[in-house]
Amino acid sequence: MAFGDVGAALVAWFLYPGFLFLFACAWAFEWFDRLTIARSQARVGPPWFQPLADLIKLLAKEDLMPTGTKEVLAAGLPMLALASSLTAVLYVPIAGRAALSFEGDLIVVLFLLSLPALCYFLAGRVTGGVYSLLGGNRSLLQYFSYEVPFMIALSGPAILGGSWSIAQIAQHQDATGWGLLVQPLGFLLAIIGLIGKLKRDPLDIPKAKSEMVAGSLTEYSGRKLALWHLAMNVQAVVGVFLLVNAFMGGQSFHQPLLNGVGFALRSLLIVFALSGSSVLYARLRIDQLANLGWRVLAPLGLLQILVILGIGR
Amino acid sequence: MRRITIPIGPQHPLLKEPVSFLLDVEGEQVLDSVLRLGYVHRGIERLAQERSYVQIVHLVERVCGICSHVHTTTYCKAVESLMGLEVPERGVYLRALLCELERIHSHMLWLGVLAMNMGFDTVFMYAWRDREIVLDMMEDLSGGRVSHAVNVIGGVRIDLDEEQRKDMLARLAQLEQQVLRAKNVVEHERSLRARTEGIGILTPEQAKQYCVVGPVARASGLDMDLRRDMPHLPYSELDFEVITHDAGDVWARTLVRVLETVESVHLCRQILENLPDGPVSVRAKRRAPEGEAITRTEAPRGEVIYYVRGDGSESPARLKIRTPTLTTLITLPEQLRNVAVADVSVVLSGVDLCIACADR
Amino acid sequence: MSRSDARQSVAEQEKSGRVREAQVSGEGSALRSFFYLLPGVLRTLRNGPSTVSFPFGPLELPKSFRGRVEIDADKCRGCSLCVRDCPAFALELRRESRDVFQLIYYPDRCAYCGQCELSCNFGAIRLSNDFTEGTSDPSSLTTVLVSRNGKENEEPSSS
Repeated sequence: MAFGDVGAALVAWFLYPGFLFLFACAWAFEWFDRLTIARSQARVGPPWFQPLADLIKLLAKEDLMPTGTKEVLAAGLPMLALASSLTAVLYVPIAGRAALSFEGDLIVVLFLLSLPALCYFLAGRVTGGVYSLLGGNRSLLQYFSYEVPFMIALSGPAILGGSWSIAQIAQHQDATGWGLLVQPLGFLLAIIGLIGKLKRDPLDIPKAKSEMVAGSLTEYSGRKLALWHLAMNVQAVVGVFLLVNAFMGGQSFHQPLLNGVGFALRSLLIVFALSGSSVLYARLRIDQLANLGWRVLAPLGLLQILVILGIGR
Repeated sequence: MRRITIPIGPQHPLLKEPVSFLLDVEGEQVLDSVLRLGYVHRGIERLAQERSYVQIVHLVERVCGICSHVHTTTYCKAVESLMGLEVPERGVYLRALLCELERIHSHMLWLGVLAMNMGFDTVFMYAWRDREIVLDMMEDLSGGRVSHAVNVIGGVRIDLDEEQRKDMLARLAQLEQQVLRAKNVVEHERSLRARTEGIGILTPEQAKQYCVVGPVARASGLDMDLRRDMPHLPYSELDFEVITHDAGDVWARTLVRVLETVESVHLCRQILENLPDGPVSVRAKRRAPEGEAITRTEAPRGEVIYYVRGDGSESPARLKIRTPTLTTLITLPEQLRNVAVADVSVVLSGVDLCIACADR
Repeated sequence: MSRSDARQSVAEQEKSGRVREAQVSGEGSALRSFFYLLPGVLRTLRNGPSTVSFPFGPLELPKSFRGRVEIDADKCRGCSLCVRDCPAFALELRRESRDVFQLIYYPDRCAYCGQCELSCNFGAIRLSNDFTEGTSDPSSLTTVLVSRNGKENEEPSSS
């Protein structure tokens, strides 16, 4: 391999669209989210470097686990969660350009984005303790309630775009029209599914502070917890990018700078939707979520698919 | 499914004060629970036997943070009845003003805590922001936001001049607007009602059997409120209504407390507009004669009973406090039966625990 | 009492006044109930944060604020009424003779209740607006409020 290729690969891994870019996006996402929620609640909100400061503080704290925990598993699960999100971003076009792309990469990305949920559940089992076990159990129950509507909602743009590749879907939407306007019901279901996937208020049932203390992550501290927070935030960012591409097109201008700005603004729109739903609603109960997921959201998703098939004809 | 034991407390993000519930859980249902108290026991009744009547006014204020004024009021009334003193009308009205302000404060705090335990941080922040108006009013009146030290044996130590009175009325108008907005949110917001309806039901028979008092009893259909039932100034001269509900669940308690807050705002306005002139206190002796006195007052959480026995010296022979939270706490194992684990936090918040009151 | 009996007794008392069954006032529309908080949120965003920026900004305290104990040493007669009435035993009078005494104040025991101010018949002791006092050594806070040595009045000193 030529030296230039290796250099390009290293830049892609570590700088853009790799680690550094994604971590910066993750920290910006957390800061923006916390600022929006704080201002809506008549508070000031954190300064811009707060997520980075939290990471540094956590790295300095003691890393303590209950006796009997398999340390290798406990440390490996957040790494797996982070790794799957970082891999998923390879296939998601950022500002119109995806690192890799092939027919069917939407399915791969959906699978990779659901690995962190599995890791969260296993983390509860591995660390033991009542709150972790219960939080892990609930997270699995929640997974089944939101994942099906989420997948149905995301297959809408795929059917309309005639392809299972995210880059193709985005390009098709640039040409014909944003999925946000053509299939608003699917967009709503995708947002709800994303809220469930990221375990945010009102669907933060597994880690409800007033019931489960911190869910699966109750016993985590120090570096492992820092890794978990990073994994959660990167998963959020990749989820937001996926939704932007699936419902708002990828590249509307032909200039990279304007593309970037447009992409950022669209991502901010979705972040506002996520933060706004945190502000406006109370936490659901797990049985209310299961009811909602299977009795309301999944049928609505199927309805949306029928409408799309009708349009497509 | 396996049966596991979930410990709620003594340290738990859900609780403001340490109390221990050991829940026996199978799947998502709570089968039984064990309540353990005493983590905040400070021996206030014992400490009172070593202090003079004047010192105990401040000791008793620190039984509870939120209902501190009611405790001092009830104690002072007991000692005044023992000594045969009569507090002038203006002092009585000012005491009642602070009682009602404290009731508003307590209910707004409780609304925020209920919302926070349901994951509804926004209502929590808004309720506590509006509570600041009440706290500022109390600070201007007495010098402290939560501990007022307003009562002395024989009356109160503060007074309002005309300008302060008008300022209080203006702030009360502002508070009323916010309280009405909070009432609207509680009544119509969908997710709040969905989380609290049908949970933690206490039937009227059970409420009577456990001797429950306060908003919890009124929400179960029992019509009891000492402000109306025990004729005393100034409530016998003021127009207000006692709010009841017949459902007995957490939603009923929420509605009762929010509507009571609106009534308290009306009461505060009437007190401020009809404040009689005159002195605010009478001079009290340092020694109380031999005898016993029992007084009751309506605290934000129900009926508070004080028993004072004097033996002719500067210090009481016995002081006994019965706080309302004790009666509602013992109904919790009954309420928590067959409740989903997710609803435990809502049930515990619905009862408005004040463990410091219960433990003394 | 069954529920129907309870309702009946409430209805009877409603005839005599002063009790009311709690009811939800008005019917909100179903769609509005999904976004009930939205006007409140927009209003909050327009009004800005409701927080005080202390310690990065000034803090306003009312006149009646009960802070640290201060004394007008000239007025103090050493009668120890304040010492007797302090509920936290935060004041101590060390007396050798009528004109030789020391009044010592322990802020770490003080409950800031204001009873000393009420008890003093000469208006010497009072509570100020000063509250910023933080230290890791409580004994360093102990203050000698009044120190009298014979007929001359000495300056009060902090130890």
